[in-house]
Amino acid sequence: MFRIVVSGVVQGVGFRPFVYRLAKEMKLRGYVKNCGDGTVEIVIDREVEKFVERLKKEIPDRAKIESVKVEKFEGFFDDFKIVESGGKTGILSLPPPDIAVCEDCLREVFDEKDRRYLYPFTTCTSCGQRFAISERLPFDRENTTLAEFPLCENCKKEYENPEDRRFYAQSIACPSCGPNYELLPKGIFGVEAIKEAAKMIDSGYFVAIKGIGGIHLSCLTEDEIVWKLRKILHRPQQPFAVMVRDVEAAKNLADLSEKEIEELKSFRRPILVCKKRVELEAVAPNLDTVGIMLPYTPLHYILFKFLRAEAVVMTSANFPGEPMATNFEELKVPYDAFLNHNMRIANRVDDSVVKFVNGRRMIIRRSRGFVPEPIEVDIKSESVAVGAELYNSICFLKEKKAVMSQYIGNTANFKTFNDFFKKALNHFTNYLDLKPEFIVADMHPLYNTSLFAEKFGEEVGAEVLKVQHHFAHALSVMAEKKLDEAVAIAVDGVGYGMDGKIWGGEVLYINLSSGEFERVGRLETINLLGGDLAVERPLRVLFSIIYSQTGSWEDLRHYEKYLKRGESFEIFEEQLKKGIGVVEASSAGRVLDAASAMLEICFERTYEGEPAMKLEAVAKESERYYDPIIETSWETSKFSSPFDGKGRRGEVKVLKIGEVFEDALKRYLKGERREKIAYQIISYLARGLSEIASEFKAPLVISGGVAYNSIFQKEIGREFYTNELVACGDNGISLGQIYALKVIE
Amino acid sequence: MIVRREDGAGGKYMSEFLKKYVFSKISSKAGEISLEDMEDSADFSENFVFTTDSYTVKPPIFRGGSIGSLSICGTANDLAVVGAKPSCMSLSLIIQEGFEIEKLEKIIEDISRARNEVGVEIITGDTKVVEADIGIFVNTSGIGERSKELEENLEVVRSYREYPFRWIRDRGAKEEEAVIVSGSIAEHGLTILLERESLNFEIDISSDVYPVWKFVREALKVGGITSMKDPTRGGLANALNEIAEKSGVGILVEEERIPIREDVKFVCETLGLDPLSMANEGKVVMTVVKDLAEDVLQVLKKFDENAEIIGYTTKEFDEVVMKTRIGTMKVVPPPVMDPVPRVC
Repeated sequence: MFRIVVSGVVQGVGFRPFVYRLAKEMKLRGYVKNCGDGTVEIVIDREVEKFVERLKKEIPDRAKIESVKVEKFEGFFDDFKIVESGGKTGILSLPPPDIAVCEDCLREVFDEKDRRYLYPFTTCTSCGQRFAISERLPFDRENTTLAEFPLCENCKKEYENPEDRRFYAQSIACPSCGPNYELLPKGIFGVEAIKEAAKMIDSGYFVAIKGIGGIHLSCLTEDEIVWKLRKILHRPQQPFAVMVRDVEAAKNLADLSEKEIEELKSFRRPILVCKKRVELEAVAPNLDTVGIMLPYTPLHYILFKFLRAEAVVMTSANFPGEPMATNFEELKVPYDAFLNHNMRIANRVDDSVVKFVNGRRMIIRRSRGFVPEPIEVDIKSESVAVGAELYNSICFLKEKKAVMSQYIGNTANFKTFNDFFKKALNHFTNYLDLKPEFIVADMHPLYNTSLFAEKFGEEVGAEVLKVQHHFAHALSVMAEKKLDEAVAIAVDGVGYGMDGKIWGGEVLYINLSSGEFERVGRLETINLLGGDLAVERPLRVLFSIIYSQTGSWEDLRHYEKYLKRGESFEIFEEQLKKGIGVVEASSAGRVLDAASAMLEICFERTYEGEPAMKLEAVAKESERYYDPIIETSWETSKFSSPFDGKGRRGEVKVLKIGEVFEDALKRYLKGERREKIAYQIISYLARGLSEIASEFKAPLVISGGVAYNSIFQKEIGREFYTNELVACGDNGISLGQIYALKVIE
Repeated sequence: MIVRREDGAGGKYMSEFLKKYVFSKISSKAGEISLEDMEDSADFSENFVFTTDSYTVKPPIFRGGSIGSLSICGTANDLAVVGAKPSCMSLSLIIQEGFEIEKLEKIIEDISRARNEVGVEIITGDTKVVEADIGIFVNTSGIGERSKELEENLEVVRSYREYPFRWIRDRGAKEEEAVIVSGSIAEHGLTILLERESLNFEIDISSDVYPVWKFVREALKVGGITSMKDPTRGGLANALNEIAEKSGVGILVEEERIPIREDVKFVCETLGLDPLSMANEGKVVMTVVKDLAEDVLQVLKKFDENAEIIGYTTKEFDEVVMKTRIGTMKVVPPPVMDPVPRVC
């Protein structure tokens, strides 16, 4: 006899049934067992080589084998069996992410003779809800919210029949025993409820729809309706996602590459941010892109069967900054009808968002379809990294694997912080049976997550470490690419710097082996007039750049009409001179904001990154025009670790901003086209920072929110690594925080 | 290593600084309140509390008062918020060589007026003249005595629940109590800022410097006050956070109910300053047994019609949380000194 131990993605993906069928087919005797630590144990009596070969070759779509160990085994069996799961839970036994409905299930859903005809909870061993319904490990039905739905005779037969494709499918359900939909407030059930919901959407109503990870709000994509939606959601400008009937419908809305279509159709079914083909003004105002996704549950397909519309808005049903509603009680946004169902959501999972930047897939929001897939990192301890503030996620480290939580969002919002962040942290800590040695947080003294980390550390007796924001960004790429040394361009809006100032346009040199953490370059410091207010009102940044450069605001007279009530350039001048409510920052995001104001593109930020995104939308390739102006400064820049708040002095290269803005403003006011200037400023930043980085031989990595900018990436002008497994914005920063622990080992 | 500005700015950095360099070497008490408790005053016998404070405000003379009135009211207020009646004080002046006598006279006049208003005697003092460029610094220490109003208040509180302290402590709050502010906020801080930096806003504003004992004693007579602070440095945000942290409760306040003049709010906003973290010199924030909150409020309203119940304490979380005008909830963190941008 032989004992085979297989590790990898082997749970909740139909691996054991596959092994069973294979063994039966080969007429082998023995058993297959889930060990609970994420490995699967297989015992067979003969033909071990052929068996392992077929195991690897015929493996189910979602499963992944990482290692196979074979050894001799003593025993006797008269049959082949699946035996009960056993042993302790480990990180490796995590359920797979939630998987879009498969072709086979869809066929049944639309087969009038099938007992699952038009049943929205149709799933099988290779598709359906997983993480969203998983309350405890391992991923067995009694540990999911489906435990509340005992199997009917038919389902039980399928579940127990090795020949059935629902053999051992934990998420199995059917119309007679599984969950179902109800339309509120009308009180219509089942298919009729879905039909009526579709009719209401087609007639211009707002319908809330409970899915597998949360509740969407859906309506037509027509401008008039969407502007109304913006009003009721208090969301003036931020783009909405659109769900399209099929790939054809997607192509009508957007220009799609082969790779993009592939991504749309993938089992993750993310929202894909892609080039608009049509106006869709209200859906994505003043942007050249739109976020679209394909249906990913049977419900979506059934809904489209009844819908006349080819595309509908499908946005999360919550006010900006708050967590997505997951049940009736949490649903606070106005709606005309609510298509509810009775399967509890154990884990809120937002739709993931991805975007192709110059052909490379980048993750903007990592959630449904990705979580909780672990990422290998070679660090031993058990630890928790709490992320930054906006676009938050938490990262858990155990058994040398980093598990990122689902997208949590804006933790400055108390509801998100209290009801989502804290709960997700608790859930995963229990889930993974984690005993953290280190709690890693951002260095910012006011982030709720950082303040929480201190309390949490004390509570669980773990050491609390604070990582500098941009080093964490850089480290997140290094973690993915397993780099030990890198020179990094970390570019975003705001992060708290080691010198207590605000950073955001940084060139960092990192060597984990030698313990070198150096800020080798940065953008020229600009003054944020009124602190956070300057983030909301880019004109304030423009003013401070121009005023600091020229000592006057004569050239800005043209912009006086954009001042808000009570603001005046005279007061700005006083504030700057006297340093009241002024914060120094070396921020790429703010420089792009200022350019957006200068070119009269955007004067008010209503969502993260808005002015810079609209700037990118306007920019058109042109000659480069500005050569980098780089000066040398002597300042605190050499640190012994990413946690080091002190450091020693060293040489820092500073990319100047003032001269370029002074000249660009003059050109713009003289009538030079904004498309050109927009391009030239983005290009200037990219080439300038790239030039500073080029002094180092180490691999170049780029990260931070500005790194999504396609012009910025292109103008870097050389090979670089960036994030591909996690977001390169703050949603991915917790992975970098975890990787910072590498320094300690 | 050198001392940083934030080490003396109230708030988080200062308490870390004190723990590291002071409390590790000096830690003592003469009654129930110790040095490390960092309360506004500490008791040293059955019936007396003691406090001290140094005043370094620039400019020393401002609209609504001066470093003189501030140094008397400030110290008296530190006594008042533990429930003690201010009784006597010391006065130390540290004056820069060359300081104008006219200004000094005005300051002394203010001290005299404030003393009469508070009803304290100044019975000892000291004067130094120095070369350093300081203008004028004033230190006052004060002794407060146990009052019958305090006794009455404690008795009322204890008729509702246990209260293990002999004075009103900032750790005295429990869940489900009302949080009251005695009047509109941020006026002292903004006045000083506008004058020091000679900013030209069209706003008629002056410091709110005022001896709070005058209305605190009336509120104590009603009873039910379980914790109290004067929201000076770090403003309302700091005071609420101290009460929450030391009492082990969360506080939920409603932005709409926090009394603040529209024009004050507007100027703060324009400058990018948070009015919740701006100093007040004649206000208190207190937690009150729920049943008595309305009665206490009515008494306070007789002195300042802007007094308001701004929220409640809770066991559901342990932060200070504000429900904003648009209905979202945000955490009000304890301020560090400068405004730090947090948005990405």
